[in-house]
Amino acid sequence: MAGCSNPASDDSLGGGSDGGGEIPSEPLRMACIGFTSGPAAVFGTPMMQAARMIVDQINENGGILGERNIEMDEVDENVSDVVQVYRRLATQEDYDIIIGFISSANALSVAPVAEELSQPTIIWDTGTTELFDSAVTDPKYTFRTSASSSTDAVGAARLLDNALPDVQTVAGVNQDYAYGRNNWNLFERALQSLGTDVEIVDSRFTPFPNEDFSSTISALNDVNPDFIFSSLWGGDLVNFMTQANDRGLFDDTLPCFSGGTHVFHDAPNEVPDGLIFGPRGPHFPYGTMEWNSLHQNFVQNFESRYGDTPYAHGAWHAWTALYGYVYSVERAYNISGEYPDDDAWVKSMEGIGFDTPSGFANIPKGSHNAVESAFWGYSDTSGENLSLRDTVWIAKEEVNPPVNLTTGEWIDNF
Amino acid sequence: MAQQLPILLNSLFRASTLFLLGTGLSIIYGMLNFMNLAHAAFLALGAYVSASLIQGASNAIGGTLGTAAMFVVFLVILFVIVPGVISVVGLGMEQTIFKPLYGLEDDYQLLATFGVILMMEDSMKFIWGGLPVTSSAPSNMLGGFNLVGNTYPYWPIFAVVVTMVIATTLYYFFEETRLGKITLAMAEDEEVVSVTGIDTRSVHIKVYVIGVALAALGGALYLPNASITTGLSLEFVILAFAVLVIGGLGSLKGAIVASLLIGFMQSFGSYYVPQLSLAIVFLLMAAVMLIKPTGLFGDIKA
Repeated sequence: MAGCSNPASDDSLGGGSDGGGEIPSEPLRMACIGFTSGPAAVFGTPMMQAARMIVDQINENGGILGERNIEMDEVDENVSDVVQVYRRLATQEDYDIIIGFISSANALSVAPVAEELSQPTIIWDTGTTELFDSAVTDPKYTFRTSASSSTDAVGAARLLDNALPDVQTVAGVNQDYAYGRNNWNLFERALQSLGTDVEIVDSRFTPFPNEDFSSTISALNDVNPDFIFSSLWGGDLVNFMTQANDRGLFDDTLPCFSGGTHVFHDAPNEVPDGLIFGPRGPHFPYGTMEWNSLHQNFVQNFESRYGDTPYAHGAWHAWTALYGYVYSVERAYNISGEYPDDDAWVKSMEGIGFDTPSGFANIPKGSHNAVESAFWGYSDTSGENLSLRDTVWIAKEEVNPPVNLTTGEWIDNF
Repeated sequence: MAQQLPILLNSLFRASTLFLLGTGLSIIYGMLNFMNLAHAAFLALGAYVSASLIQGASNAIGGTLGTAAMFVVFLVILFVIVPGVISVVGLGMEQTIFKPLYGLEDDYQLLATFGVILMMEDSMKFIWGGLPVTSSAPSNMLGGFNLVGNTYPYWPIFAVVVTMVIATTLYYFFEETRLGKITLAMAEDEEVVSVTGIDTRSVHIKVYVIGVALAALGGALYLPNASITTGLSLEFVILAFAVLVIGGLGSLKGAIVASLLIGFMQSFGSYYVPQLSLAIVFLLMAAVMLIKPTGLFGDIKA
């Protein structure tokens, strides 16, 4: 077990190559796919920046196992046929590992192809619970290293159930496509299953993207809910918030935005104090999140390299995916003494656990899906940077299904 | 009925933005016979430039002026500087890119100007980045009032009033001024006008610049209510053409009526049947085309 260390830890980065076997001399070929254009670039751009920074750091330390450099190529997810692009990367360009996908639709289309082609693939951001519940029910080569929508939606339902007893009426505003529908469905089912004593008075689905929320807000003002669950993001969230502020929606309604902390950076002047925000998993640069040196190092390195803070969860998801991959390879090598082939890599990823800037991440044995805690807080406008106060953590077991159940089966049987 | 008041105001605000966008497109087509898909990009450009100037002015002199004086500065930016700057940009594009397209068939114009809108979109992304840009300072300054139990902002109402003044001025322009009458005459038969010795090229440019300035103003008035992101031009180009198709090519009256119809359909539609809010404009367009293929006021030029 000598050298079986967590490559993400400060003292062992790139080290620990004492497994003995030969390490390939040619660089590892990695493709990273994310939206670097279009509306989802709010996540994809910092994501790609983080990936680039992490690869450079690993290479500066000698590479994987201190010996093998990583050659990373960036691919824009904003293409008309992502499956075609994926097939080309997997078959013609022969990447050792393909890491990517922000869009639910893209991840759902690509995952079965990854299995068909036996191509090691890490889904680094997509939230849809359908990925392993229905698209690929018996995955081998596909893993997801970030929290699924279950973390956000069930987390919000539990937050409401546990911590907000005065809420009597609830409404939803979500984008009218897979992600928005999936989130609202999980949230609503979780509330029902928990037996939370609230009435759902409205659920609005808005076109994506959408710049005019005025009538949606008027409709919500008419039913005047105590609480709103929303998975809006990007320009839609900024528009909704701006127009809702103007129309007094938040005067007596508490909204809960499950993946919205990136607007703290993108539109800070539009964020009022005291709304509930979640960062799509426990990823946030400031406030009570600064608990370990990995977090501090990541934020500081990102800031010094890009002159900006890793506000969007995409940057944190990139960290987990890249170090998760490197750790799984190093772990396999250190334990077996052999540089892992694809099958050995799969075995190493199954049941893996390691420290990240956002806490301990793990893929439970029998699953290919990482679990993370849910994290919430109230927007805090008092400091130099917009932050979260009165933060709440919800344990990962409370917001993710056990390995033998689909998300829906688990939720319906709380 | 009182509950419908906010939706009614939302509709009118929506209609204002569409009118400022659609009218420009319509009069340019009516007079120049030039189908410019890139017209909606002037709205997005107006919004982006407004955001930058408002943020710049707030940072530079925000603390030194009182609220009223600062609001006047914002109004000068939105009503004078932004339409002025975008008109200059538009004029530059007219001289270099659009002028060679005037003699071509509509399909070639559509194809070429679609390329232009994509290039303008990318240029805006290059300058302002992919993240949402906002500047709600002018709207925040005006604040809001209580309307059927909830706050409603003054800004949309202000924008509607401004647009009504502009619509009236445009009507006066076309009916009463020499340039307006020449414009109408040119729309009917340019050759006849040109043989009278009138410099039709100069009239072209003036009317084109008015159209661009209106679209820029549409962006400037829309901005304090929303965020500006890439793709805005492409979203609005569809609506601009809906105004054109429903109202009828080159008709001012048509643009007013079509903007109001679309504004009302979109606002009430997303209130009552949100699932149809995307389809509703197209349903309206299809209905109008079935009944009157030239648009509601298609046979009346400007």
